[in-house]
Amino acid sequence: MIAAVIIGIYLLLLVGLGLLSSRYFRGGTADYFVASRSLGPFVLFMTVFGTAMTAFAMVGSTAETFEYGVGTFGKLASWSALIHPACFFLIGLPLWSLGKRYGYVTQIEYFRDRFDSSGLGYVLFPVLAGLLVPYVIVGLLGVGSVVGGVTGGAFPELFAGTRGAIPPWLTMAIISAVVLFYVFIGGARSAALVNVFQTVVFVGMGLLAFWLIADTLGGPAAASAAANPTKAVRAGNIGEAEFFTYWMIPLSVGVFPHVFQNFLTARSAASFKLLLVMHPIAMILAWLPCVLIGFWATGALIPGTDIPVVPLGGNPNAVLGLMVAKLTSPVVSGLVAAGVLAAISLDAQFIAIGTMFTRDIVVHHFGADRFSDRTLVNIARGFIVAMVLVTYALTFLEPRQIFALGTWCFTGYAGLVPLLLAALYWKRVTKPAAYAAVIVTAVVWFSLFAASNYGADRKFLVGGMLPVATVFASCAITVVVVSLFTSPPPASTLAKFFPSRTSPA
Amino acid sequence: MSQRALITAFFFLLFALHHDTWWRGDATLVLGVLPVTVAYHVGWTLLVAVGWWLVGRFCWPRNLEAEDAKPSAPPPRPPQ
Repeated sequence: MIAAVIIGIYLLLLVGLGLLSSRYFRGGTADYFVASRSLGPFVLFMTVFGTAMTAFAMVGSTAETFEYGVGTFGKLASWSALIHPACFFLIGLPLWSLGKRYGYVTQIEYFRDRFDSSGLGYVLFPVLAGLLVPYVIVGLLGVGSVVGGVTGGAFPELFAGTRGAIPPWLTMAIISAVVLFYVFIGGARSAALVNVFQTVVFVGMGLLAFWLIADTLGGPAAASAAANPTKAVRAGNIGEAEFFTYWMIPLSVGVFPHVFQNFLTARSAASFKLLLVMHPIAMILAWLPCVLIGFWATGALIPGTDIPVVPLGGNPNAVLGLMVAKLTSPVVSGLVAAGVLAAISLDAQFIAIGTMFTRDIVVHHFGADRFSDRTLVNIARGFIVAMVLVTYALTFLEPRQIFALGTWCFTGYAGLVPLLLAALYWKRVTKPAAYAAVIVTAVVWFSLFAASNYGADRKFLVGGMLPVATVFASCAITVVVVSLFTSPPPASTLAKFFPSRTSPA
Repeated sequence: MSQRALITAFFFLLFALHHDTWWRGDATLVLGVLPVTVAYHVGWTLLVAVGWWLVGRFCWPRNLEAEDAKPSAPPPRPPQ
């Protein structure tokens, strides 16, 4: 019951922060979508980091370590510490600059302009927006499993079917409603302020859980000594080619529509410097405690008994919730559940979906003068609600493991990175190549996703490597081959996007 | 060798050193707590942060500072 009360207080705090930030909402689409490009270094860092982390970071990392060992830290946290800032520097900075110079609000606006093609946006939209759906599902499933884990027995009469725990469907509905509320009233500015608070909460609560669980287990050394030693190594848990190809998964951050929109909120290029340096350090603070909790869960016993904290064959997604619920107090359980909720910042994804639909489909199709600024914000809000309802309905399908589902989502976005890099740095890339690359990437991704039984086969590999290697290579080869066999882009396009490297006509 | 080339080489070296095959089967616990592969990757990640600090200090694109001073353009208008 105490845990449920703390979670309730946390959600009320979010609503309060949303109301507070709405006082700073300047009105209009520029502020709703990109906070009038006014965020400084600290808020940019906290927003981008908070947005890039999700249930994947807390619930997924603990579950994956419990099942496949501590290689989880190397394969995702440390690779992300290198690759994410590389994407911020090599993709985010140039796009921020182009966005400021030409007024872009979405990736599709950039692609349409860069390839001088209206139709390309209609091909890209379903791919970029569609891949956000599993991303949001990952977040909702994470919320449901953790809140269920820490509220077990709290409401025995109300929720007898879940042994008194708040059922996932209710948790997911409530969190969706709260996020929708503050996204509705304040847009990107509101989401940025809430994200600062959320990032502090989720990193802080992860550290708190780590400390208290270690204490209950007799200290960090005793907890590690009791853990299953086969999970302290990579051998037997993950293949070497698979481990190596994980470097491609964090490339997805370069194409995430919501992170792209975060880039555009920056006040200046210098705002990115803090983000580059702090991101790797924040990755350690966020991931290391959860990976160690997952490792300790492989050998942890309930104090004074021989009963394992995590029952054999239990749901890996519930490992964090179980470790916290059985080894700490109900107060800490509630605080950690609030931390997981904070990690799952669905706001940026919601705003990105609404922005893309409004600007790339509605405004592009009907014209900029057809609607008032206020109407456009309302159209974005309406589409966000529709997408949230669809996503919520999809969570009732057979649940997949959070880590696996997240990896598939990231795979799709990472597959498009060669096209984005070519658009930014290669003058010779052509419009037909862009069309072909998007279609080939989507087809290859979907074929592999279907071959993995839609994520159910968690160890699905292609030639010992992650599917992302195949998707990435397919896109890269298509971009290069089709570009070389089609006419180069017009000089006017090159002059616009490569001014210092193009001779004046 | 220019600063930019040195920092780029530093990142390529880090990329190559990520794959710690030498510890793939070693269950040693550093300080009795951290599995050795995790301890290695924590150190590696801190070096990455140093690398990005060097980028901000020595390789920052100068043309972007000029961009800061300019006002933002309005959103692009779709074809009528």
